Amino acid sequence: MMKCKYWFSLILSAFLALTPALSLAEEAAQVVETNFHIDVPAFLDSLQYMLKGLVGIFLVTGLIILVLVILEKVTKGKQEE
Amino acid sequence: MGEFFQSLLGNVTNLTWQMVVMWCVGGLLIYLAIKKDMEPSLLLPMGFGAILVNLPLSGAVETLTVLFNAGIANELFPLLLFIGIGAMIDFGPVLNNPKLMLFGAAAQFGIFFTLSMARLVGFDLMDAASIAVIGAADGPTSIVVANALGSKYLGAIMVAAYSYMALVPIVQPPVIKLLTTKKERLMRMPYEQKNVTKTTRILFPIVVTMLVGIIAPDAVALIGFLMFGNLLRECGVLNSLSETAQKVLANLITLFLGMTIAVRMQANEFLRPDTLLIMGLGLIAFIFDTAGGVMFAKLLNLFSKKKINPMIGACGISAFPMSSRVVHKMGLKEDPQNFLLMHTVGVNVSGQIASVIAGGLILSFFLK
Repeated sequence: MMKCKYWFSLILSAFLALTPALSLAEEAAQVVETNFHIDVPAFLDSLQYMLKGLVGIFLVTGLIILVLVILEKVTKGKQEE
Repeated sequence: MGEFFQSLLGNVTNLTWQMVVMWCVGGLLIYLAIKKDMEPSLLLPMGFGAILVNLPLSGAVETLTVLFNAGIANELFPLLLFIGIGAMIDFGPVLNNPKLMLFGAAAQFGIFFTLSMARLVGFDLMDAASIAVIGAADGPTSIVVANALGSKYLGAIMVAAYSYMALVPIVQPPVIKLLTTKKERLMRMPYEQKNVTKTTRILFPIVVTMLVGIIAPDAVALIGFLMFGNLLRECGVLNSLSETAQKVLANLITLFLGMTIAVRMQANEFLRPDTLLIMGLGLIAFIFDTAGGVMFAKLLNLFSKKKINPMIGACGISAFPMSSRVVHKMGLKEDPQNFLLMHTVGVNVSGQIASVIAGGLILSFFLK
């Protein structure tokens, strides 16, 4: 009797857990179909930001390195004096 | 009697299965924070906040919305937190060897790559840019950028950003091993200690703020608050303020931040298929950040006489100090005599600056 109750509650719990999961999966499939699509033109358009971003960050970093090197040379020189 | 039970338990009828799922999400964040010690200062308040806002007709939503408008919507909390973070950081290893900053720059590749990937799967430009900044591996930067660009995915972005920051010891090593050979991982890098003058330490935050601010004015708030905190630390005459910023201010803001972000974790906003996609894109951002740094180091090795252990390139993400420790441990595992810590810390610290610059560039591209 206890075993029956155990299996019954297990099956019921699985059903209760599965139902929202199934409806969520169904909803997800609908959303994916309506909202998500592979947008190759948008991807290609976004590549310009990749280029600008990487060039920009290396440029700024390079400037900071240059400033640091000058700063260190100037301040060390003054310290030695 | 019936009316009594109706008034007592009537709210149960307002419970939805989506709210229950969010309780589980909140519980998971709390579990990760306590049991696995994953970014507990943020994941625990976020987890508890997620439960609070997902109780039916929760009265906490209004209060947390007030806090959200007071501190997140106007970017105040993350900027104040940056003062504390700046006060905690010692830029000495970077000032000792400024060239390490290049790895910080290279390791931001994942941000821009994820931007393109997000566009590929159909996110609009603003949301794609906000999602991409997960790759900055920096909570305040992610909040500021996502908020400024008006992204509707702030909650998911924050959960992704902080979760992956805590998962750095799991995400980075396989990527590093995949991209490097055993011989490269065994490369030793002697550390030459140079005395960095106090004047340099004091001028560094001022000069960096001015330089970055002129090039990317939208980044002034981010870089300025970070460097102000660092200036408090380095000036030597404001030790009490520096300590306050490092401990009291940082802890206070962190306390508010986690709970307040949870306002964006209400079931109707968070429990969407987009959230899973954002988690996936966040992982891509971290993977390609790591790959970007490592590949840049390998590229430099082609032209440089002084060889660099490519693993240190992976430390260019802003997850400080976790990333530096992970790579240092990987180096020790390959060769117990190979001490990479000072180099990894230098790269990791430069990643903090680079991530803010990247965030500022994203804002300057897309904010109108």
